[in-house]
Amino acid sequence: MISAVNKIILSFVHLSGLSKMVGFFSTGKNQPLNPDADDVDQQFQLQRRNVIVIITLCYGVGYVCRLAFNVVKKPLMDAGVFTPEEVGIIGSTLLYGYALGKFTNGFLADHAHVGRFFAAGIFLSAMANMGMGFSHLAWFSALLWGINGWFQGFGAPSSVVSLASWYTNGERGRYYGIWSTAHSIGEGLTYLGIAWLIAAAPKGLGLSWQWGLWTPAAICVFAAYLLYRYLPDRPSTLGLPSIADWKGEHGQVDKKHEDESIWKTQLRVLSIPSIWILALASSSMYVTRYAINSWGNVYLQEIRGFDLFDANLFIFFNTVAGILGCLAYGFVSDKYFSARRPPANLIFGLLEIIPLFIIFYGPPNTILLGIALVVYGFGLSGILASLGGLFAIDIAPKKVAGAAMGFIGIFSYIGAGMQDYISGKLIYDSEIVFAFPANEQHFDIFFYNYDKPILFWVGASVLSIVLASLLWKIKAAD
Amino acid sequence: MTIKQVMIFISVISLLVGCGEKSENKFCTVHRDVHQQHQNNVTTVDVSYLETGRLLATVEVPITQISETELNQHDKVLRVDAEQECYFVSLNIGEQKGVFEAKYHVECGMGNRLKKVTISLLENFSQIDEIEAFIDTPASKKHFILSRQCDGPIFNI
Repeated sequence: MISAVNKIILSFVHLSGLSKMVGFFSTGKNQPLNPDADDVDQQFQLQRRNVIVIITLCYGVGYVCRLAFNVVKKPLMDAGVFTPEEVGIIGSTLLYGYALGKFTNGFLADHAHVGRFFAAGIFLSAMANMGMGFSHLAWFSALLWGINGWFQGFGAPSSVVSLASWYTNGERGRYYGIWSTAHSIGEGLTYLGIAWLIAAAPKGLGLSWQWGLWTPAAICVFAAYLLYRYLPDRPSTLGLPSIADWKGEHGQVDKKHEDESIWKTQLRVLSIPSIWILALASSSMYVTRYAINSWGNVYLQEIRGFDLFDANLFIFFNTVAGILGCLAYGFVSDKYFSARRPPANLIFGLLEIIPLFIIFYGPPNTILLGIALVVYGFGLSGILASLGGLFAIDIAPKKVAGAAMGFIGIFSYIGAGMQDYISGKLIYDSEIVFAFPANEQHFDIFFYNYDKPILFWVGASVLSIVLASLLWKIKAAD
Repeated sequence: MTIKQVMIFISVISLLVGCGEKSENKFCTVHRDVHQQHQNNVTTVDVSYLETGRLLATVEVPITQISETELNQHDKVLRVDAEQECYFVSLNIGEQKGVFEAKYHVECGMGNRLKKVTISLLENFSQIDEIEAFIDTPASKKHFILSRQCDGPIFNI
């Protein structure tokens, strides 16, 4: 059945003249093994350095083309280009496009030359940002931003395919941790750099909102060039042995399925129960992640009474702690638990959930709140690095790492999207308006009760940790 | 880089920075810092809404800005909308040091979700130019100033 589908797809591709393009993006053919051991060592050292630097830098930069719209939302509304509702719809299309992109591109990345594939994604994302700067039509912007979400979904699967191809099970935690810092780097670049461009003087340059989209586009075009030039295909296409052979580190080998096609292995991944449990755990943790990202700032101002600057400062510290959390998770799981993720998941899960209780149910002390937010950011980034990808790559056969990541990704972002709707509804349902009409003005002061949303956010984290703990005995595969 | 290029670069950046400035009402920008100076002559509204559904509103207005009769017309001062009807329970008005203090008590009942509280002092009494409000709900507290001269509320006083 699968081979019949393959034949149909291949004949369509051939007839439609797409074969050249598909060929360009396909992973190369395996080359005969290089007999020169010194040259192999040199090649591995060079390429491994290139891979981690390029995927971290470019994935971080690529984030700017994903988040830029968040920064220009207010100027767009102030300029009367879009209404808040239209801005909300445009913003959400990216999330759904990204969920779909992570899934489909995860499957495609396993078949692709990841350097070219990732480069194409980030280049097309740059073009979408460029187009957004010219669009004043809500439906067109929503369409373009949704497509951008799909292009953005080229990055993560390509990065994890590279990580699976160039680093062993025993060291992947550390390298995955380094790569995961790209999220925070991207957020920092966007919320400080792009915001500085368009913020009003004296805090920023006061450029028009279009520059908040065109500048990321220019940066992403440069990142696409770096990826195309420096991110290599798999070791076997360069005449190198597999990373497990080179390092002499092998995990559990599934002899029975060793020779099956990539398509078959990808489908087999979907029948692994632990992948489903992991997908649900990741989805639940993404609920908390995006809840705090989307509503944390508002909560700090509304309920805790901080001003905008201080609330953003808290979120900034939280992001910085996230960089350390990613690095620490990889180091701790590799070094202290022999690359076993479940014990580290539990530790980082507790480091995520205990501060959550302090933030929402603890005493109203500013210093304690600050410390709790930092520890929460540290714990969340660590456990997300695992549940959102690393653990899936460990469980799945390495040749289908992209598909495993994509499967986890679609669950995670559906969780994130649903969270936004559910949280928004729960918050809106609790709204009390204190209206102060005047003859010429009308002042409305809104009060929201966050009790139910908080229960939802904390509950999602608890569920995630319980689900992740069910995978305590799961071991990495080759 | 030549001196000419440096000068052009600095000029362009200066122009861009200059473009970003937006004129603001100076009164509203500085008022949170100087409000204390006239605080005693400003009308205050202190609303406390409890989980039990009890709403207590205390309004303090200088006697030069309103009459006792006007404060007695509670519909002109305070309206409360909830999922089900709320009941006006009592009103007590006193006077001290040239200021009327009116206490309004409204009962909405447990489980009756409060939707909107309208305080119409600025709409119905033209001599009131500014209100300092303290509002306390089961979820959060807010303290702000409303002035006829400003487009929005002034927080973080």
